[in-house]
Amino acid sequence: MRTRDSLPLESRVRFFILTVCSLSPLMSASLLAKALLVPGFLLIVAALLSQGSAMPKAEPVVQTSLAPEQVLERLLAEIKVATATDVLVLQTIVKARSRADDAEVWCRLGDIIAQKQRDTGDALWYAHAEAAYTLAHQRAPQNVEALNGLAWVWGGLHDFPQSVRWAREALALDPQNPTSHGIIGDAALELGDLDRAFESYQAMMDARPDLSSYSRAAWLLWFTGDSKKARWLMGKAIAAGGTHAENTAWCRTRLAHMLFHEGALLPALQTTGEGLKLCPKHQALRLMHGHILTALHREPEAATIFEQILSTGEQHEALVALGDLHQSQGRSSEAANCHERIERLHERQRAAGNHDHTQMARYYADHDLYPDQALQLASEHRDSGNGQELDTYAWASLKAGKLEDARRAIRRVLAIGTPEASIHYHAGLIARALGDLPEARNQLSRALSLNSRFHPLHAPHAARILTELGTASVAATK
Amino acid sequence: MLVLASAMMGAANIHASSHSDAPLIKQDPQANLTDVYAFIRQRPSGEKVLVVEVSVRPFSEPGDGVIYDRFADDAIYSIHIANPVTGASLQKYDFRFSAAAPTGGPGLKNPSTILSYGRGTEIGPIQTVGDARQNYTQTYTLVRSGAQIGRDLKVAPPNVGARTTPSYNDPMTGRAISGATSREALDAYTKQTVYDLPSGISTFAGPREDGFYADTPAIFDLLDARILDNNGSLADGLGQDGHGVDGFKGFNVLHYGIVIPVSQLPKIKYTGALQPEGEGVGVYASVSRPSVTIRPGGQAVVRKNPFVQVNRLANPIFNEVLVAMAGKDLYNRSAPTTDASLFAKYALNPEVAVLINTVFGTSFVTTNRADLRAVYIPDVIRVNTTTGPVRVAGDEGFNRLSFIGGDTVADGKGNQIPSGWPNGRRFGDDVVDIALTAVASGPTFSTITVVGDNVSANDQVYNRTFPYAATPHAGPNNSKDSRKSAP
Repeated sequence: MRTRDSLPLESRVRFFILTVCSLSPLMSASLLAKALLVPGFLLIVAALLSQGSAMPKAEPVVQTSLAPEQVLERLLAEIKVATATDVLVLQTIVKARSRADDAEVWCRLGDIIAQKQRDTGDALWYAHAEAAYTLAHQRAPQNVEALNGLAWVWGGLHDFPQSVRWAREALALDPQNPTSHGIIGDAALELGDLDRAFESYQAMMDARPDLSSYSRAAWLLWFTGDSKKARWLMGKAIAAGGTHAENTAWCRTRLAHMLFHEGALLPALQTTGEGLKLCPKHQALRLMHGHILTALHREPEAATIFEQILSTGEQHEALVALGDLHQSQGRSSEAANCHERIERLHERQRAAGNHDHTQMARYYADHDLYPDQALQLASEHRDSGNGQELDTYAWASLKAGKLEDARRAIRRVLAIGTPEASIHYHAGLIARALGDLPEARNQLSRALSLNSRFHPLHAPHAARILTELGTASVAATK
Repeated sequence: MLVLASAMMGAANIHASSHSDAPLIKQDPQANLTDVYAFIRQRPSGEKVLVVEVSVRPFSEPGDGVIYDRFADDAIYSIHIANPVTGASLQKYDFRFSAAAPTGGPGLKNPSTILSYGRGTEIGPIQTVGDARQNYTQTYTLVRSGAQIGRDLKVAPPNVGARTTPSYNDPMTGRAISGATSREALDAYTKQTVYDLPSGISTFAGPREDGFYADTPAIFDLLDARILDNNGSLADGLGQDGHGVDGFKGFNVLHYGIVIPVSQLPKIKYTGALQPEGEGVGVYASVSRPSVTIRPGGQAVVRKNPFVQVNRLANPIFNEVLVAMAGKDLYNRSAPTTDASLFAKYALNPEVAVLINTVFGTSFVTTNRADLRAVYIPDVIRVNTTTGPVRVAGDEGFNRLSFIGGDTVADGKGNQIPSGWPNGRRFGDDVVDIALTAVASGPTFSTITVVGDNVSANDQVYNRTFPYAATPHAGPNNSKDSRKSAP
């Protein structure tokens, strides 16, 4: 039995709703920003929930000094009319021009921009959303939607204290506001305060049991090891439906993620396949579909999917997945090309001030590149309560030879109980490096038991190491 | 005192019996079968073989000194190679064990000590099975369809601990080492008790780690997953809140197994569940005891033939989860050839589907489940013997969910069929998740709905060579214990 001291999982709530949070290195914050939609309010905080690709605190453009027309002009300059969301943005800009003193219109604009952020995964939209919500707040300081909007922006930028501050202001005005509870829960989850996450998400679900709250509950349950109930609850989220096809597409992505990490590859493929029928361009869903196809050794189809994602713009997860696929098939030059593109992408992100350190640390560690740099990038989160940040830190510590740090960190990760094969893979190699061969066997065996095809490069590596450790049994007993 | 193990009902071919999943067999642990495994592998020579391993004596406590668990000497432990269509036994391998309570040699070297292991005619750690430091040594005879094919075969010793049976254990932690990938990599005791007989059969008997894993406590608590702190008390002793708990973690079983060249097996056409027509055999296990046991006061126990079947087992969870109370003991007394008439109704109308629907509000099909009938009736594990060797746990591509995870193997005609259960059963197959998923997804399987128990790995690493069951847990230090290192 875990005690409160050992693991803060106990709660008085019956169900725990959890923010849509990706723990997988396969998913980035940008992809997770395809948030679930609350009817009438598009700010379910998917971006907040992407633990694995937490962005460092980027400074948003402070728009509070900008006049409404300046805000709209800057926004117009970014819009290329290509999607239905773009059309909605333009329509709302027209309304905002004619009703510049109307807080509701600015809230609406913020909501649409938030949807744009989720559609693209591009962090630049946070600044525009913040500008719109700020104008709404200036016009109506007690507008709860505006407050929640600002909370969402800061959460998306991973400034959680700010995010929580705005959400609490909203709660002070509307104590039962489900979105506010959701945002606070999201922040709590990101920070590893699972008790608070449970309480907040339970409040959200009590106030509004719908796709948004069910999916959070589902993710929390999965995150803390209750995959059975998590799958069931995510199924309820999908059945509940959302305002946009993208909402259920996102839930299907999450459900497929759970199934994938349990090795249930055929149901996972069915889940993404059904989702793609309804939302064929959903990037996160396509990426998940590609991962599953890779695991099923349908490599050409997987490569096609990754290339299709990249045809709309460079994207970290798709580049990594494609590069790993090339490498697993022995195509070294293609894999190297992907690596170069990843480095260039991150250079651009660094220059723009929105670089994801954890993401890059994980990439370097996964590919035995620049161990000192990986550790430096990951060390920002050495004291984090966030499971994926800790896992990345443990992994980078191992690669940099900091075994005791790796051991301490991975123990904390294992205590959370997330059923991800990669976590056990990391734990197995850390144990092996420390000379604890029985533990190494145990963890690697667990990784392969969960999903023996969890990664095109690491799964075969885990199997090879486990085989080596099996022959080491002879030496150990002599 | 006269103890009757004879039939209570009238049918001529029904014998008194009990089962691990039935009331009567719970009273007879040494005869209580827990799991049967059957799968295709190949020897280093390339010869294709059928591996059959059977576990008996559930929840054998690793630290249960000073006697430790022994096979019953008044039982016949059997493996049946059967017709996969009718369930009729075609070949029978019987394991008969030497005295469990000898008063002298050759089974007991030193009757003047309290110890069974660590002191025989010498004191110290056991180096080879049956040496001077192993006081009690059990042996067995192997009979195939009435003909003896092996005798005086030693049973592996229990894992007393790092000081008495060091070859089983890691010297640093005192915990059992497992996961051997070849015969050579096995620990000394296991290696010494795997016998390659002139008949081409290989055999083993001894304690092993219980390879079954499932959150059975939660499963049977109205299918409830362990929800977090459901009663507001932080002091619950129910285990890891939020996670599944492997109810078999840290326990051993007694184990016996054989490896049979496929060339020595009959070839019978059948159509297995989720497979096209194939060719192979059925497998099941049974335990029999004398029909009459007399315990005269102050004198030795007397047992009288004939032997009657007291337990039977093949596919996992059939009797546990599908057969109702009214039929559980009857199942153990009967042969698979009677399953169609006696037990088909339980497969066709699974109560567990009703329970899942009730608890989770789902709409799984609860009647006319021909898909489940195809798995369980007759209750033999059907193994397609035309495939190549299947993957085992630890191999790349092995999936505990078998075909649900895309883990398939080509049969003799090139069809991809499940690598694991319901095509045979391997160590590591998550039979609970597979079975519950089948209940939830059938009969069409057009959409696969995964239903499981939050336990997705065994607590010990299986071997990848015969015996595939993992090294038995050590008495002083095993996965039930929180400390990791030896004292």
